[in-house]
Amino acid sequence: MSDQNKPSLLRQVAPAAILTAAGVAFVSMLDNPTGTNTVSLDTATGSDLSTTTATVAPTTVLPPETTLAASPTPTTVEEVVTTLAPMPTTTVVAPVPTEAPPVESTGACDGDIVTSPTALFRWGGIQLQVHFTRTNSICEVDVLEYPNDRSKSIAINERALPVYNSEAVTANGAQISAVSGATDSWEAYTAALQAVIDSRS
Amino acid sequence: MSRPITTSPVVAARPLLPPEASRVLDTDVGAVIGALTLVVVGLWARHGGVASLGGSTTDVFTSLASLTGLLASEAGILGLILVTRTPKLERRYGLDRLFNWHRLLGELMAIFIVAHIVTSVEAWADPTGVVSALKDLTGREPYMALTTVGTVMILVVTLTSLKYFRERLTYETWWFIHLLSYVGLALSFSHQIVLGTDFMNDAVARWFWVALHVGLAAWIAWGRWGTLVRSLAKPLRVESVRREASGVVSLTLSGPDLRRHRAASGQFYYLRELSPGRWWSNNPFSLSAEPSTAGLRFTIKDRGDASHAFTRIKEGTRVAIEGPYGVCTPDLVGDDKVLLVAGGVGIGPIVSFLEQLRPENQPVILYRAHAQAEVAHADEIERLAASRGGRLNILVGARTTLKVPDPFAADVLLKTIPDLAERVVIVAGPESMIKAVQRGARRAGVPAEQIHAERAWW
Repeated sequence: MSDQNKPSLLRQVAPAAILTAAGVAFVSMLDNPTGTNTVSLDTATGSDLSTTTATVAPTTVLPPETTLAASPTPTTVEEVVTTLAPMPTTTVVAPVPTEAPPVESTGACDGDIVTSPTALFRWGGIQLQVHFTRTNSICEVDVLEYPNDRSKSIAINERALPVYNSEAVTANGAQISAVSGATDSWEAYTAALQAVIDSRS
Repeated sequence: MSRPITTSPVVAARPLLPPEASRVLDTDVGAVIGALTLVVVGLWARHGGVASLGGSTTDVFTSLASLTGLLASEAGILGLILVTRTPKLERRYGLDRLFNWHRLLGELMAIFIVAHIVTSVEAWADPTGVVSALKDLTGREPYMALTTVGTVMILVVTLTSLKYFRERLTYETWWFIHLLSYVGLALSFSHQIVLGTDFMNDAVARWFWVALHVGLAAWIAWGRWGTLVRSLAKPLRVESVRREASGVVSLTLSGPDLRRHRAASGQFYYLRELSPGRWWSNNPFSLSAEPSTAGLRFTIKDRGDASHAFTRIKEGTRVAIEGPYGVCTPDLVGDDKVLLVAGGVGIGPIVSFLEQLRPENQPVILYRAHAQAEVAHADEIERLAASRGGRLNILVGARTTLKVPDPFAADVLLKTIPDLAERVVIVAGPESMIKAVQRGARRAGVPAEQIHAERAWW
């Protein structure tokens, strides 16, 4: 501890300089989303939007869909599925059973069925299946995937997605308004929907 | 320095080499703390933490929950580094200061954890309400049931370390509760990775965070638990037990492995008696003689608790030692004149210190004891002091029976030691006495950096 052993200025400053530089370099390597939420489309699922032509006869599909619109709770979805079961073509039923059901139909879903790319955002991903009429308007939207690893995400999305589904049909496009508390999902939802619309224009 | 040679008759005993000096600087420690803080806060900011503060109420709470969680982790990481007993840190700052900082960081971590809990609940309460948020965060969210258990453990550890509870628990009970903090931290680690977005969505950050914790676990395993295992693997034996005064004995521990030890007077070891029912009890004792290959001597006063068992220890008993620790060693004094102040059992380190002093140091020893019967090593000190041109003053009696109200007041000290201001002051004893000596010596003109204290380690 004698004064002769007093460390040089370099020895005192160097560790701080090196560690600070390393810290700054590390932080700059990290992902830097520009806002609070960024949405990116997963090109792996979105490079070729799968389009199927619906074979469901419009008259047979319409009544159950109207039932769906009236009661959007998951239990009702199951009832509806049962109703649809005897019919050979049940493509309109969302593959994820807990999914928010399609809410409205303004016309017969006798056109294409397009699967969107997955819109990735900070809480997970949203993937849609969009049903069109023969005249190319959106008649139904199913959500194939939404963030479900946190119960908070499930609660938010189960509340908001049915609203977005019905808004999308009403607006016949991606210009829909956000549900409060579910803006992150709204951004991802509209991005996925817009991708589908863009792919068809 | 003549010492009885009690080990191998072939090889003469030699004093142990002093521990290597630490090259760690305050600026190094500052650099590590600063860089870790930079990375943690930078990570939060880069992931949109600052931008979120301008968002909705939920965004603000989500952002703050993330920041407080990260800062709690940082405090925990730094606090654990302090108890790895890394020799470089210990030699620089001393175990007592490291423990003290560990305690402060533990309290800081608890404060951040509470803030993290409050902000997380607020963030989760939108849109489903506080009750639902609490249910989510105590079980429904992934790994949150484990995290809840872990958090409760950490908060229990923090509470039992507060002075109020700490004083009401035995050292061993407190220590075993304290081990829960390892379990608690391990249980709550997974939620950091899975539930927040900082690590879930950024692979670079995730691997850094995992590597940091794995590295820390390895450091603790080697530094803390490795030390324990090594000490158990090569215990020393009690070579002699000597009664020094009423309730005071000195033990000498020896063994062939001592040759490889490095230690200096004024340091202390943790001793663990390896006998049924006693092996789990680990207690610090100061060296009371210059450490040599012939043995380590400890002077132990029966204070009723674990020290009682050590005063009854039998010759030949195996004792595991961890150490040496302590920074109050004779290299502090150089050629300066020295005042040594001992209180009660603090005489142990003072005797060992005295042994390594030279005539240039002209040591004056003040020895404070409550009763004549408790005075230990008096003849030994007298002899050592005389051979170094110094002298011993023994002050015996309860405080109320003394002629002066404060025996360590500046004027009292100066009357006994007129050249006090030129001396390096070394004090070992109870906390209250250390404070009194520090105050008196400062007022008598001794610069603060010339006063060194060693807490009485039993």
